[in-house]
Amino acid sequence: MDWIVYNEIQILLWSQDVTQKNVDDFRQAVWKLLGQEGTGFVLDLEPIVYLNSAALGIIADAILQGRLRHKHLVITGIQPTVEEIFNIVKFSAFMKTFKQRDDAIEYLKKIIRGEEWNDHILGEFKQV
Amino acid sequence: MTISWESLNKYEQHLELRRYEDIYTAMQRTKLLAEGMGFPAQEILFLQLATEEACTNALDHCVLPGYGCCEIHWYGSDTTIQIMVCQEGRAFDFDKSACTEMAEYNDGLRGRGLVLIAGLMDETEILHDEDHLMFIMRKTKKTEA
Repeated sequence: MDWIVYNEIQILLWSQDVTQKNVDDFRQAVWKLLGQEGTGFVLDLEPIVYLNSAALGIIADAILQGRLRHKHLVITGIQPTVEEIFNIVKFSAFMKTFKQRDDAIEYLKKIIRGEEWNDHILGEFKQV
Repeated sequence: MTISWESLNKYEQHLELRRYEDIYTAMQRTKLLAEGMGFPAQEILFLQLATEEACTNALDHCVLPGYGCCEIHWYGSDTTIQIMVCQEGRAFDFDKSACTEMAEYNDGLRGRGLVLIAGLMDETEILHDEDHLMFIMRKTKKTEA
């Protein structure tokens, strides 16, 4: 697990597949990420190929709780197996995912600058 | 010591699930069987995930007071792996189309385990009597064209 700060964006690089064995560590790390200062957050899953439903719940909860506090969390580094898992649970319906970390950072920089704020807010309203 | 599936198949066709640590043993055994049957690596990973979700679900219910133990059984034919998780307890609804619909609207913390299983496995089935429940999952290896 690595913490990276890029400009105003906080990045958590999570490096272990998530099972029941380490799901509590994953929960703590995600909440520590969201507890940092700032409005742009990246959860980078590039090193992992497996995560269970409890981990999916933690990600979903973090995204929604973050929105309530005007914190924008996006997911990046999605490997094919994780992508298939995300597709099954329809994660794309309510969260932003990126294959490359740079794309996620660009997206968040635009949000922080306010360029995509309207789209982001409209997207949230569409979900409701 | 390295365990081969042949020895596992001969001596250990099932495993009693007593605590959450047993789930990792179950996941390893699923991997061993699927590897022996020639499933590709990605499919093996998904079979392990289905195993973890089914076992977690069973243990979550079995640890309730008044409920007994649960077990996992494996069967492998030439192309199909069947995993059965048996527990004492009442039946639950498992409707594949309902699972898909549930996924569309679920932004909560829980409720994705069965959705994942439905999406990852080819077939699922529940058999039950008054006190026992058997959750069966099957996956068939895709043949190369």
